[in-house]
Amino acid sequence: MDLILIGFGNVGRALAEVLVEREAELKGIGANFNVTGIFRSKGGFISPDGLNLKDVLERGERHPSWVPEASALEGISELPCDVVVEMTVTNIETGEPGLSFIKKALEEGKDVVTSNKGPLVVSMRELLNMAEKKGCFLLYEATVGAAIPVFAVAREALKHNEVECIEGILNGTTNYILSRMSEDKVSFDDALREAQEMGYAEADPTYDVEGIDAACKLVILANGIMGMNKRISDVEREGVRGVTPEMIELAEEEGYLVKHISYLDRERMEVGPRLVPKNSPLSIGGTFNVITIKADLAGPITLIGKGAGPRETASAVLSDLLTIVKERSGR
Amino acid sequence: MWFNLADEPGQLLRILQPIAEFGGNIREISHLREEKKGNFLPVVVTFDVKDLQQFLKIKEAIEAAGVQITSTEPHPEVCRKIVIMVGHVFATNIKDTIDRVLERGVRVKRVVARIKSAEEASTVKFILEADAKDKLERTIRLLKKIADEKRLFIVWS
Repeated sequence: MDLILIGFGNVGRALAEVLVEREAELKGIGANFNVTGIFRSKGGFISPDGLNLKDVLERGERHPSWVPEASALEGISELPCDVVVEMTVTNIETGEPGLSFIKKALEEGKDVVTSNKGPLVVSMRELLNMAEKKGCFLLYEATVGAAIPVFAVAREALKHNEVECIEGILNGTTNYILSRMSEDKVSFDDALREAQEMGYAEADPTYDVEGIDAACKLVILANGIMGMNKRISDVEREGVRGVTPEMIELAEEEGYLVKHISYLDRERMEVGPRLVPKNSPLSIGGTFNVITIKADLAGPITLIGKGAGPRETASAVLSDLLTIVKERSGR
Repeated sequence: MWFNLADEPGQLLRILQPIAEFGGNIREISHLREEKKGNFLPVVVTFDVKDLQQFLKIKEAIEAAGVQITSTEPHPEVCRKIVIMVGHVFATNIKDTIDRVLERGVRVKRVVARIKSAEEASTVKFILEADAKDKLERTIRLLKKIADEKRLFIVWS
């Protein structure tokens, strides 16, 4: 199966590493991945016969396949390619550049796997319709909860169920901050500073602490699992900046924790701080993410896992690739 | 057990003493102030007993003390949410905030406040109880709206 990788940052590199590390096992289950192009924002590595990923990772731009003027859009049309793996940076305003790459891939009849929330937040329904019309896969497991297989569980294990609501903690940074405030009685500002020092939070933390990241993921869950056509403006959103040590203390007296909860059903979509019982699955601490899917037959099913990290995200991308291998080979 | 008590000091003791005397384990006492009629206040006391015999002894002793028992039905399921508000909760008139959201069947219990100074934000916790889940949900939505209006930060369970 020929692949084109677009975006070669932390996630793209982690995927390439995993493909090298697991090559024998993957071949053993019939997944012969052959990467014909890897594109960065400028330039790319090109080899219609297939790149040696280990060499590319080691030598970088000194590798003979490096073409400084290579363009991903041309690569999608011209290189041998069954699946386009889109891993560019997230832009939730325009969805670009990922949106153009995904559209181009689907127009050309290629399957698509993406780890990028941007294009889905901006145009998910349009992209899913395009994929359906073209008979292509568009899979996006990595966009919510990184390694947590929430879409796979909904698509496969809960195929015969009606999903009634989904709730969880979809952002590891805010969970880390609130957990530190609760467990070690530090202030919001100190916990945020610590999260930034440890690399969990960006220099500008707005996206995380104001709940924008969680709202994007909620949109993808709504559209991807519940078949809705929602946008980020449909999410009622409140951040965690207002949470104080006194609030946490008063909650703890009742056996509750303050958590940044995302909630979705047919009527409501909201992200905001809520009180959850200490013994609830939603009370998970640290940078973990947790997602509970409530389905009509199965009842509540809760998944907990690492919601970020290059290798965790690469694991989800690989899981989508293996789904396509399985479906395309008719197994 | 449901009672109609005169809203006067010492009335509750007439119920609690017989319960304690015959070994009942008191779990909760609710005064339904919003359902007060004249000077009479509905009060619900929830307690555990070992068996029916113990229950009947308690009931008899309460009646002998001259208290009117209105019902011995088990307490209907009470829906409950914990609410915590941060901000200038008192300066923005907490009584008005709460009065505006209460409807029949919804009540506020156990208000706890943490106040640093008049200038600083205070934190107030209370328990909202209702006899139906949808009433409680409606109350929370309204409370959130009023909190936004008054620039208060609010969380709930």
